[in-house]
Amino acid sequence: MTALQDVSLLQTARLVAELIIATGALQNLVYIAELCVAGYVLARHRPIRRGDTLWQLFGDISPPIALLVPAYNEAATIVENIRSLLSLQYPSFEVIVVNDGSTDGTLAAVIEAFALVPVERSYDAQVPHNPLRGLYGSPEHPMLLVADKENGGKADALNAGINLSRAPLFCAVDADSVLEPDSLLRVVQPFVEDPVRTAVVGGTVRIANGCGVRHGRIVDVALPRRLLPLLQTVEYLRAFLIARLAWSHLRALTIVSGAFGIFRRHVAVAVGGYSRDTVGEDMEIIVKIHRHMLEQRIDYLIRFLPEPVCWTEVPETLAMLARQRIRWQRGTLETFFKHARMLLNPRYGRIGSLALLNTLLVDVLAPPVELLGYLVLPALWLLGAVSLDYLLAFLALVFACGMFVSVGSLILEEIELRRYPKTGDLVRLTAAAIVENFGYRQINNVWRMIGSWRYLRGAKGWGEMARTGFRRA
Amino acid sequence: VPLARAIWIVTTALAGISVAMMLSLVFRRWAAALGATARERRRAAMEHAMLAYLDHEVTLDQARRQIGGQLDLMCDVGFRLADMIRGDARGRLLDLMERAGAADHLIRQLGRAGHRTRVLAATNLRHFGGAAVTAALDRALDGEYADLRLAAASSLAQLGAAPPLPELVARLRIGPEEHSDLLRHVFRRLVPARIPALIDLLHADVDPTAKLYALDALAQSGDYGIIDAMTALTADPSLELRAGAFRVLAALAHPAALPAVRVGLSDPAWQVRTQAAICAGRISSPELAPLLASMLDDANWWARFRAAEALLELGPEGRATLVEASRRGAGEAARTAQIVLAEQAA
Repeated sequence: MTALQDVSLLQTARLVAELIIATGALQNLVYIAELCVAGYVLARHRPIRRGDTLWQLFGDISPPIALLVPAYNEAATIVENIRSLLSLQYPSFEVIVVNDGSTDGTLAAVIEAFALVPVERSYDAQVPHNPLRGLYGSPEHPMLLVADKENGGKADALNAGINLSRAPLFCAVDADSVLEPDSLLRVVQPFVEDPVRTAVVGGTVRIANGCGVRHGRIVDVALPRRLLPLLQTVEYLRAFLIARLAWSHLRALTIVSGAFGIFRRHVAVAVGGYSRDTVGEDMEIIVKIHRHMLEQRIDYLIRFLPEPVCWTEVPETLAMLARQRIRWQRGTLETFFKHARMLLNPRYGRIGSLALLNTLLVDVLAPPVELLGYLVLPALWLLGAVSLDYLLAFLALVFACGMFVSVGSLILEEIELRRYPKTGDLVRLTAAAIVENFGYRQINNVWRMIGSWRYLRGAKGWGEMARTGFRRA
Repeated sequence: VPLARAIWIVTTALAGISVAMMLSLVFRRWAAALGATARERRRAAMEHAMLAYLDHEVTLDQARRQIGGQLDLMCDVGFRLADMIRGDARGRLLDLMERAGAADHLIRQLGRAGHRTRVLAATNLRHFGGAAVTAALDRALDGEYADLRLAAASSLAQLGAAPPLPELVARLRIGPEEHSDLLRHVFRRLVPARIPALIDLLHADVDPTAKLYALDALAQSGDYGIIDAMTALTADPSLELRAGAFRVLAALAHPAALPAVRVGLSDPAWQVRTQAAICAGRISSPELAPLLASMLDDANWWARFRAAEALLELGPEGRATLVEASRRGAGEAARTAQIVLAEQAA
């Protein structure tokens, strides 16, 4: 190799390094901008604290809601979670559990626990799903309907629930999640205040690992004891209290959590229900609704509210977490590339110009670029192209930005919502916000890269998720 | 190296700010925990003083002296208590609070406090009457924010002091700017005192949204005197108003609406046919059975389903019609009848 070639290679490597730094800086600027917007929104719209005030305001004018609970091999938690859903504070709702061909006795557990018998229901098959094998109900639980169907995936089960529901709104709830008693009254607020435009509203998902549960209710809010769920707690706070709140305010929210989202039924039907060919059905249906509404020139709102809370169990082992994150990345890429023609297309307004651009930066480009940075920058240092001072300063900046944004989410949580009661919780969360930068952040990027690779190879299916059940208080 | 130094400065600043903020939050938590006991004690004392007055253990003047001076706490504790009690005791509690300065305090807040406090003040002023209260609420109707205007209108309606309806509609900016379902509270509170005005509003030149809220309020009225107006409205060119009129007639369930229901069951809009079918079920007149049976193969699922439900509500004759339809081959009408019968049997 000639000296000229060496210089050229070095210059290319430096260029790559500068690109990596620019991408990282841009990503951090986006996060800090999201933090500022979220802070502004929370300062202006403080949630109503008292449940009885909510009931007075919305009790007699709230529209009926169908809670759709897709269940696949959820025998460990399903009965307790149905009991929790049936005891929610809301004037008019029904719970439709869709057993998606479980093989672990989920259906038998529900039938036995609620003394269900076969029933019939007339419904309009407006969105596609695999055939139903039977419907079950009980006069003792008139608000509960259980549908048994052939396995077809979560989206397929939700579509069956949409067809069976008769309420103008439906709420998609994960079978392993626990809704707070007043969560429906809180989440329905935008549908009451702006009934014409509101199409979808999402609530916050919080981590239940470590919390005490009694009779299907969270009675003892506590942080997870194990490190992995604790790190995910910081991640969830950052995702919900900062990113979703900010994008919702900008009217460019592209995801409502599959664990807790409420939809206007006729809007979901108009877009053909959930797409059955993706593992990111929760993101895909939101982008699909944006696309439909913008193409039809219908004024609409997709909102996120921080106060309605749903608690969910998260993976406690690296293997389970890896499967989940790989799947999430695949789902994101499936949605992004399925709707890629919206990107920077003026017809799709801020969804094309802001939201999908953000997805491109944060979900498509950032993981490989950050990983490349961890490889290229040390290599440049070994070659003597960058100084150790510079390398360390850059790494420290990346970590400090991550910590700053995480701490920002803790500040918003503490000032506005304050769900974690102990002072020690704040200290542990702060420590987790620092620790996550060393190892957890990097391994997440590796999983996302694997997810991207599997997307490129056209992988299908969800993988397994073992339920441990909640800690009884 | 100068760049590296600059990066280090930014990094240190970010880390320092983060740590300082978290330390201040921990300190804030600790200080709040220290103050919580004292706050709870003051709160309990306030509640005790109010309950002592309600139990006739102290006089009005004594109670007023005990609770006066802590106006925010008095309002917080007092309104929570007022929500839990009824009758004479509630009236005495609110009288005590008014004499202790609650209404004047809320009027001051309505004029000057932060936005959320102003909305709360407008809501809580519904507990008090008097010219000063209604004047303050009336001023708030022209406020900048919709939720404040709505809270003021709701309180005025509850106090029976709302302005004339067309004026109220204009000042609340109902239509393009305001279409919250919370307006239902305002309109429902106008019943029964303003029923003629609500009917007039249906024919006034106002946004259709206001008319729908007027219909919602009329559906709550239980007043048979509005049947003629509602049956006339079932022929209105507006689909929403026709469907809304049948909703009111269904709530009233009076046979005088039968001629309108007969026409409504074959309305071109499925939304109207569906509401007419619900209305037919509520009225429960067997003579509607043939018309409802013909709706069992309606092109719209909701219309078919509501027609089948209505047949079941008609009693033995309706059920017999449904059973007969269920035995008639494999068409849409037979399928609808079969499933609704099976659903009802389960």
